[in-house]
Amino acid sequence: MNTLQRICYIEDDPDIQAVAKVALEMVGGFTVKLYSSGEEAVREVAAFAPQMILLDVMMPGMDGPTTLKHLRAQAALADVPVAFMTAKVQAQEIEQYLSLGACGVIHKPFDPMTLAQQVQAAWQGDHK
Amino acid sequence: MNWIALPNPSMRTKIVGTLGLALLALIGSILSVPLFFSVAFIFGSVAVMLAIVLLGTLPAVLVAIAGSFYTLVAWGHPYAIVIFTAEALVVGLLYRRGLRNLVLADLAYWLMLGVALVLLFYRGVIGMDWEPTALIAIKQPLNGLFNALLAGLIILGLQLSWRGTKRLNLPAPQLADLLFHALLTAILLAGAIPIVHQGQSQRSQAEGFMAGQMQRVAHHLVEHIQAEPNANPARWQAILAGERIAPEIGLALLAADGQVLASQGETASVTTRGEVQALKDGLAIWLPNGDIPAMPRWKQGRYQVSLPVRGVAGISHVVIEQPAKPLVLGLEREHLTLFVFLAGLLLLGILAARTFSRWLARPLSELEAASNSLTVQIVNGIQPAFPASPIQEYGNLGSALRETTTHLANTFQELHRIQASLEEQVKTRTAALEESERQLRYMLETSPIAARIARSGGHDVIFSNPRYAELIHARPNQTTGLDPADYYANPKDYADILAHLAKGEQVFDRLIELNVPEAGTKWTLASYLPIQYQGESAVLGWFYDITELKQAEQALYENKRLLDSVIENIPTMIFMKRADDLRFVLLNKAGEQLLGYRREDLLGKNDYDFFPKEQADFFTQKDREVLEIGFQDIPEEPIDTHTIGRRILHTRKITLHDDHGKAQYLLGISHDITELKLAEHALQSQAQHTQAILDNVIDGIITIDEQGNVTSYNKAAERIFGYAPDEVIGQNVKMLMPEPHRSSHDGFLHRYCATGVAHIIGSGRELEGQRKDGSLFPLDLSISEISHAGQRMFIGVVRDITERKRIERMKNEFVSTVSHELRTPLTSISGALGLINSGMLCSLPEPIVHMTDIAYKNSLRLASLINDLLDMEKIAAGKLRFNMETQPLHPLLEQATEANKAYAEQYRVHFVLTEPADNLQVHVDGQRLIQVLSNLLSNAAKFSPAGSPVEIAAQRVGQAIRVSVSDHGPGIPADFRARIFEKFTQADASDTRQKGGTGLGLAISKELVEHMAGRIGFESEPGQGTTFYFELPAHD
Repeated sequence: MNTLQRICYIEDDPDIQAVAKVALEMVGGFTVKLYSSGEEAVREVAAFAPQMILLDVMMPGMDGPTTLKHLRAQAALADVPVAFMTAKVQAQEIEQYLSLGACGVIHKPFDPMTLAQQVQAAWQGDHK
Repeated sequence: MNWIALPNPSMRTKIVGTLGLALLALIGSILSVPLFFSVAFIFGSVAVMLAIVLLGTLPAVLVAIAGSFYTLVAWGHPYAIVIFTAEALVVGLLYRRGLRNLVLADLAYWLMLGVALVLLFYRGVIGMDWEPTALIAIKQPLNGLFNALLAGLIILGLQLSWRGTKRLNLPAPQLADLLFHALLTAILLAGAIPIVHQGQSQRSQAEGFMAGQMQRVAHHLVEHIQAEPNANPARWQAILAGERIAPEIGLALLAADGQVLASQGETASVTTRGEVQALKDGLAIWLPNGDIPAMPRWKQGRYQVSLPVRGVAGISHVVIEQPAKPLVLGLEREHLTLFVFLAGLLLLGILAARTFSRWLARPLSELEAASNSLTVQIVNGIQPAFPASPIQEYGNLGSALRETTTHLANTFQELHRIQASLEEQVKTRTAALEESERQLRYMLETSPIAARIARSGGHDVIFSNPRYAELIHARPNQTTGLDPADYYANPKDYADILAHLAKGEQVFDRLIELNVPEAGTKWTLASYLPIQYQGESAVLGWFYDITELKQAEQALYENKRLLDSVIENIPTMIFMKRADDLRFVLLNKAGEQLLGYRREDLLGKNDYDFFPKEQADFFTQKDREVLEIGFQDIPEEPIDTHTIGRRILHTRKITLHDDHGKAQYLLGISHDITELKLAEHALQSQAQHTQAILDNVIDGIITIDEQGNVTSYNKAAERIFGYAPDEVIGQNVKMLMPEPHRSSHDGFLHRYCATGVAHIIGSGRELEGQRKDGSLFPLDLSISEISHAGQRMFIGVVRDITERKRIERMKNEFVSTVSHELRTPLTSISGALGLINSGMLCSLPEPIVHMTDIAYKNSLRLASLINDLLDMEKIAAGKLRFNMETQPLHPLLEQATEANKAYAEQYRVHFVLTEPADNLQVHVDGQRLIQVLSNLLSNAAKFSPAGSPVEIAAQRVGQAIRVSVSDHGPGIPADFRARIFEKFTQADASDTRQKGGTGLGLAISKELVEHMAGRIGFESEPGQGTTFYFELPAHD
């Protein structure tokens, strides 16, 4: 488990889902599974057993922070690092995400060429 | 036993007394009272007993000798003298030695000596029979004791009488003595009377029996004689012999001349000379003549009965006789028994009387003994003890005495206490009196009023204070002895005052004229009091020196004239009306001129005589109010004058009272304010005009003074804040502000007034206000300072910017939302283009690569623009947060340079970072500082000619650290410099497209630098280049 491989990404926008999946799989070489809503993720993420979870903040229905709370409630996911990916990146917002237990915040729009590095950095920051 | 002093008379009295009593004793011995039979009591020893008590033993013995001397005659022997003299001697000795009871002393004598002497003399010497001797041995003591009792009663009588106690110096009788004598007397009377009566009746019974027997014999003889009228003397002899029935009887026939015709037996009574005493029942007794004692004489005597004889010639009567001796002897035996009874009674009586009297008197003696120490006990408050007694009266007496004594003792104690308290009070009073006189002197000494005390009816000064000496021009210690009367200018004054004082009246506040040598007349207001001073009547006088007042009176008169003149000439109308009818009594010259009436016409008239009714009504109504409440200020009253038309007056009216507080006059002072009123009207209309403007402006206008209190408040302000003017004016303006402004406002204002450091004064600012209902709203406030009437004032213009703010907020939210929504598709676009351009998906033909490259760059520009817009919006909304840290500057410069290096390379520009001279520290938010540097660096790169360098340097300038970014570009046109830090500005619109950029960078940079306490600026030389710099406070 020393190497990051399995990442799940919860994001309602299919275009961003596609770009991020390509950027992470092709540039970063990770295995990425996508979920389109918080509800879906809460139901199914545990089955995927991710090493890292990327989570959009603003989503219809269950938003990012709520989803995080539900994921954390599941024993299998309680310790999996989670990073938010969001366009809402004001200082107090970032602080709030970190206080919820996130290991990192990745700004949107992201640079597809460096996204994998940012994710890796966040994961490693959590594993220090 | 009380030893009562016996009288000790003078020798002369003794001799006279002895002789008197001796005579009495003799008489007492001669006087005898026959008790019964032959027994008689003699009273000589009564005088002897009296002599013992009154004169002494020796006189008593002499009296006894004298008294008993008669017995020698009466009884024919001297032995009674011895017995009675011995009685006087023994009783006298016993009595004088303390047995102060004559009866007891006498009893003692008879028992011890007297009876023995009687027996010795009468039986032994005279040779009397036993029976009479025993009779005498009892009779003598009885007689003696009776006499002693009698003497005792006489002594008691004397003791009880005034004569006895005063003239004979006898002590008061003792109760026991009284009781003893009374009891004994009672017992003897009760016991002796029946015995004496018994004795006497025995004799008469015996004599009666004898008389009856002899009568019968006599009658029988008379009948016998009368039956034989012719008998001869021999026959008579035979008849007599026949009638002689007992040998002791004697019978005799007597002729009319007393010659015995015939006799049988002893007929001594008719043959022998003797004394015949007639007894009752025709019985008589013949007693022989001669010096014979009574008892032997009676024994030799003969009883006889004599009856007349009728019808027999020669015979007158018959006599029957019988000897008395047998009867006497029988009686003697009977009487001895009675005497023994009497003696027993006497002894028992003495014993009982003695015992009973002592028993009765003892409690009283004890009471007496107890009462001897009573005085001492009462005075010392000791409760005395009294004996209890079973007898009610004694018991009551004892307890009554006890109560009385207790009460007395308590009373005494109370008296002691009262006496002590009285003494204390007297002491206190005396001290108080001295103290009060001392205080009086002290008071007068220190009094500012002249005072003196004079005695001798007010003509001799004995005390005076310094002011009095001053008043009469004397030295302070030389007033004593002066006669105050000498100083009165009118001597009658003082005489009159003294007359009042003599009646006990006080005299107050007399105006007195004093004539003081060398000082002339002095006027004083003097008061006088009659007082007691040092124990004698005196006059206290005190004097107010009113000489100066008198002088002032004159000055006052001058003043009044001056005042009148002032009133007359003052250029203000002054008038006065009588309080009761409101008629004018005074009007000054100015009043005449104003009203146009001469005072001769006006005085004595009222308002209705001169002015229209409604005006006169008004004046009169006001006058009435003034009279009621004392004062009225009538700011405006129109009046139609006689000569100058209608004028407006400002009148003040007051009530003038007399000494009793009754309204007397009404004083009025009127100013003609007609011109003033006109000016005021003009001013008012000007003010109304101004007010109308103020009331109709949209902005709230509020003025406050230096303390922050609201002085004016217009209609718009009323509308904005919801308070009415009267709720705000006079209150501190901070009531219109919410916290924290409310609390800090006073401080700001004070600081400004003190130091001139302005918070918002002189500028405009957006703030929050608070309405009356508590709701908050944004407002735009601008304050300016003015000076009005020498007072600093602040004018605040308030505009409610709620609506403007709402629109602004909507705009900002709109921008925020739009920006965010724009980013989502932009993320996909730039991400997708980035991946394409990376060539990792597949290889594309060159023209397509060129196009996607353009698309990718512009997607990045769009993202940058959106970021700038969001930053601007945050700055505008005040939402930008700074994470300030003190840190080294250089690493931040390196980081920024490195980050923008790629961008600069697009323009073939390179950054030259000059190493700073020392380690500079700044207090900043690192990311924000990099943002500022990036803006400056990207701008510099954009406007630099290709291949030219952009120099970055940092250095200390005074207290600041200046960071500069210099390019070698065209410089900034002069007409653009002023607007260079405004939003959405670029020097040339055409440049925008060419150079790229949002036009927000410098505006954001300026805000960020200023938020970090720095300032931003630039220096530019057209054609030479531009240097942008910012300065931050140095942190060493």
